[in-house]
Amino acid sequence: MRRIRKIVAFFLAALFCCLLTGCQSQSKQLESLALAILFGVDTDAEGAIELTVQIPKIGASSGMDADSGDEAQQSQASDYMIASAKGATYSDAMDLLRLTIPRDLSLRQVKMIIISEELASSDTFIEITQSIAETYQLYNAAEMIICMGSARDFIEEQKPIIGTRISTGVIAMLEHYQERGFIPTTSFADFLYSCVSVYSDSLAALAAQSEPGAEALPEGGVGDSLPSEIPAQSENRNEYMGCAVFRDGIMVDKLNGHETLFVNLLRGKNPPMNYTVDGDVAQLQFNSSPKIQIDVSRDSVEISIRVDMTAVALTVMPDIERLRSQFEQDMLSTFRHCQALGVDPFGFAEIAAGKFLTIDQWLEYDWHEKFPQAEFSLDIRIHKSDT
Amino acid sequence: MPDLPNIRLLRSALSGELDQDVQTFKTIFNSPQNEDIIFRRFQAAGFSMCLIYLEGMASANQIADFILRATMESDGRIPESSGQGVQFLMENVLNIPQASAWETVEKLVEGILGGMSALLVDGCREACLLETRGFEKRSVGKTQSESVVSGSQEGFVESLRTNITLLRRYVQSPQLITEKSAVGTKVRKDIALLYLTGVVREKSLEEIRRRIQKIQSASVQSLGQLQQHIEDCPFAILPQMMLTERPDRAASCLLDGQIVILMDNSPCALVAPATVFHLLHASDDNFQRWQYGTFLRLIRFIGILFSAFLPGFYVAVTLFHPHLIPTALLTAIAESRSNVPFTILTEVLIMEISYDLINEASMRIPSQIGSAIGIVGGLILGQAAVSASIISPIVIIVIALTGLGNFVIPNYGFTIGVMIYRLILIFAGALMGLYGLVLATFLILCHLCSMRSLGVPFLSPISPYRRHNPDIVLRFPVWLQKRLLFLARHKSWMHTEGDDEP
Amino acid sequence: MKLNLPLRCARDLSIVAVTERLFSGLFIDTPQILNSGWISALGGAVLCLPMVWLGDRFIKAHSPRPVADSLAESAGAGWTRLLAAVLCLTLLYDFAAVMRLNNNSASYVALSNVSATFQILPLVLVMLFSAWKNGQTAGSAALLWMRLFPFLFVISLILQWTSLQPRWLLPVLGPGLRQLGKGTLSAAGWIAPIAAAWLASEPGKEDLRKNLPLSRAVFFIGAAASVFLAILAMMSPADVFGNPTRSFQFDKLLSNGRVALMLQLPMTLLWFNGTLFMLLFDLFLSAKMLQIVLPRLDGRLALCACALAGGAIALSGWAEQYLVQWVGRWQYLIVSVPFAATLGIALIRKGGKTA
Repeated sequence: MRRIRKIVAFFLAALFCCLLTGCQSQSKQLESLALAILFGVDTDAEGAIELTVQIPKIGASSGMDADSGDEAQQSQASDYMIASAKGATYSDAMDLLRLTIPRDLSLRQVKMIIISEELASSDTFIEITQSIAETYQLYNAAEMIICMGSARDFIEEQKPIIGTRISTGVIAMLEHYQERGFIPTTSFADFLYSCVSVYSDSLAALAAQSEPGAEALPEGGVGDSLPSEIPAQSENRNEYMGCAVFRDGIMVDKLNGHETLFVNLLRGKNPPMNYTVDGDVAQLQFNSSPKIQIDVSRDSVEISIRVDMTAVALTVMPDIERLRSQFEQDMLSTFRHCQALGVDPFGFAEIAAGKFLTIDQWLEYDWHEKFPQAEFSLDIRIHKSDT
Repeated sequence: MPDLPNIRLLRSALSGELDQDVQTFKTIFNSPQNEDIIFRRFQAAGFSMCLIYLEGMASANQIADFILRATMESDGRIPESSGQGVQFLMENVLNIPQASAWETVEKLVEGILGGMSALLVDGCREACLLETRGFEKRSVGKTQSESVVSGSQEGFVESLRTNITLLRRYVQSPQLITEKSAVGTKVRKDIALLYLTGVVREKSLEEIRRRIQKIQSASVQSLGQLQQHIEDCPFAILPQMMLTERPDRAASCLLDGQIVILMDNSPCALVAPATVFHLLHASDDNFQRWQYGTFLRLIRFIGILFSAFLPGFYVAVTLFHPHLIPTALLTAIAESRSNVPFTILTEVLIMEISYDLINEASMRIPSQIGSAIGIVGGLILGQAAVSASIISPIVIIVIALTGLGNFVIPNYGFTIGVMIYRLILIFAGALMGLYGLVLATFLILCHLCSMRSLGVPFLSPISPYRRHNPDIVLRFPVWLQKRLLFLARHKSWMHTEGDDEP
Repeated sequence: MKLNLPLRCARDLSIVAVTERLFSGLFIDTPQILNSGWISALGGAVLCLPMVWLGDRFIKAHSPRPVADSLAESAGAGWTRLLAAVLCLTLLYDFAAVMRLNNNSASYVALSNVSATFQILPLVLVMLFSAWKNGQTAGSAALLWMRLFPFLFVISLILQWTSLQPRWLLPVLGPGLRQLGKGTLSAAGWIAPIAAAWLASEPGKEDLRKNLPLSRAVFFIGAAASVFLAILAMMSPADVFGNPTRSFQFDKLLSNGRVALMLQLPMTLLWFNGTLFMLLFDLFLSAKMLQIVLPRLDGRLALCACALAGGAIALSGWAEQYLVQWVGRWQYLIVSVPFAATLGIALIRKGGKTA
């Protein structure tokens, strides 16, 4: 009996080991991978889809040499490979891309997904979004960027100006811009979930390459412009400012940086804002997220917003009443812009949905019809601070 | 199966005729071929006597001063017809501290082999076994493998007597019982079972006695071999009893109701029953303040996790889940591996085996050139391997952290067990990534849960749960530790006020 | 070898395995319930409580004997075997379903191109070796996991803290009462196999002091699963228009798409370990039920038979998501009706005998 047990145990162990060999094929050595950091999607006039990836060339000295100046830039630029492929559909383009890159393309480390404005505005964009979501290994934590112009050109221009690695550079850059509040924090997951949910509309950060000779000052002050219109020059030609707003998964318009500040404020991000009134500049710091109440009991929606903030003088403290009035006007102007587009990127829908018992009742209410007629009442409270 | 030589003579009793009895002993000890055994015949107290002892094992000075002189210069005379010569000598003549009378040859032979001296008296059917042990032994010094920063620095030695004495110094209680016996059917080795009566569970005690008696081996030369004979799961990778070199550790186990086994010529103690937490705790955890003890214990647990899981995790993540590695680190790893000709698994195995070789070599190497191993291992192998692009630097760091984690484990047996588990986890990670690691860990966890030490579940008091002091992972202050360990008997005299039922 | 399961081990194993089963069933396999799964979890526990409460009373009245023996004596061996047979088949199917779930998870996380056979068979062997050690081992492992789980869970929670939006729990009734009702029935179906733990358990003398152990376990299961589902619901808005395949739901589960990828690790470990305990629960108890039906069957043989049968079902296509969802809705009735009938007969017969 013992002998039989030993024989059975031996065969089970051998079977176990043999079975496991089938899994070995799934492992990949790092050197057999091409790790994409940036991923771009374009379309052309015929509707073909072009996919672009930026891949660091992993070499023993990549990014480590202390070159200087243009040589350093060229050296850093040449440390990355840009590859693109075109296909009639997203799947075709992806297959072709995988075939042409000399390693196994890994999309697990993608930091930014860049979509051209042309594609984002097209009717096929919803399908593209689904295709991106279903792309194996393309995890949804990548930031979503809508690019005015070609995504491929944008990716080619994305270089590690400060530092040596694009991956860390992109993360640091986006964190910095998001902190300033002129672009929203939107990962692809946020974008996707907003598209398929029954609440607010999705949005994505807006970017473009700067145009030479853009020197005109924006009328409304800092942020009151779109990317490519910012009067600033540097080696970094890629500019990030504002957001693209979507309805039913298709881009309808853009909000400039100043309007995006309000979007971020109402979504609970509380970015500091600098306001200039008659040449006097104050920084507005928000003590807490705005308190929003929505009344859906009547025919028209009534949205009450209370904002508490502290004004800190950067030069001379401006007149508080005028400051409050200007702030209120800017906020209302942003609301009207979005109402005219029929989109709600502020998150009001999520609050309004809480007034209903079931999702069916909420869908029956049809927020997209009600929001454009909504009335706003703002309670802006500004406290002065000299420190 | 052939029996011991002269088994009939061994099992016989003394005849009372001195010449015959001396001849019996000469036959058993193979004298005159065996020149170690000394037969000293003399006349004293009106009778012929013969003192038998092993040269080197017995102390010549004690024999000369307390036996030969005492008997030869004594005024007393053994009553002729009484046949109680040995008793008379023990009570009136011999001034040696320990003496006992025996009839059986086997007992006398055992005593002589242990360093005692046997005094045969003509006409007497008993012989006197006298404590004359005086062999050379190592003095009590520091432990080799269980060093501590603060606390006792003493360690067990090879002498059973000394070891028992060391324990008695720590546990000064009349309830500390020393049961002596021997193991080995052909060549006997003395052992001692120590426990606190009234604290230890009778069931555990009976079980351990039963297991020791059941040993059929011809000889058991060390406590390690004894452990292998009596442990519950001999095929398990981790030990189920604790071997310790430290008397303070063994003493604390006695106070907790555990049983300590000592063996002659083994400089350690075997403690049973033992749980996995006994193998993970160090003796200076309790010596330090509770904040330090807790902190160091946490460091130790982290070290153990590193030791067991880090290489397997590294292999799994780099092969199957590169997205779990930050991009900058991932590209740094890829860059450092760009010229390495081996796969990640091969690299890790090469370094793992090299590390184990260095470890083993450093233990065997003569002390005069011991420092060379550090130079050879660290500088030459490590640095040269990286320079030659055989190994990537990141693997060296992984294995170095693993090695450090290995060294924080206080118990040597546990260390080796973890090393074996580590290899299993490396292969599991290489075959199926994190999924494989989880499967292997689950299997190991179930195996640990099924293990027992003298019938006590190996992972208790955590699982199955037993009420215990807050001293398992974190070491809470001593004044909060009112409960006696669950291994002790119900309502033992060691329980104090505030100690609820276990 | 006789398979045995002390009552406290049955309780611990049930808490770990059934909580995970309930959670995974509602989140992965019932996406139409949107973000209101936590209500179904509570509802399912409430539905099962009367059944389990009766079981606890039975244990208290008949301790310290094994429940199966007491039931055979009270209700008759035939009824006991019938109940055991029903539970055995239910657990076998559940075993296969969870294996497929585990197989899908492994595909998503690492082994996408590996065939199901190569993924499932090692799992079968690991479960077999684990269950081989008998019920005390399974219960101890579950208790240990209960100690470790909170640390990993808290780490996961802290990592995703900033993503939590309580407003995504609203509208409270989500998909509506009808869907919630179906979800509640499914939830009760996934909790109902705890009846097998009851039938397999052997209360000891120390268990006499404890009151209603399995009822308290069910209460804890419902509450815990409800909390987990509510937290997960706060991580992403209700997905009405999406394509909620298992992969999509896994992606939401592991990182909700917002957390940096490297921080998926705690959730991955929680998930895989949870599924392994589910499998251990199903395999061990189905073998034990088989042993009750065929008392002379050796425990190890029963384990082998159940493991192979479960593996075969998993590979045959009978344990796909849509079938699991369908069976889940009926499982509560499949288990509770024979359970109630057997206990009822036990009560009547015992009453008849004493009358």
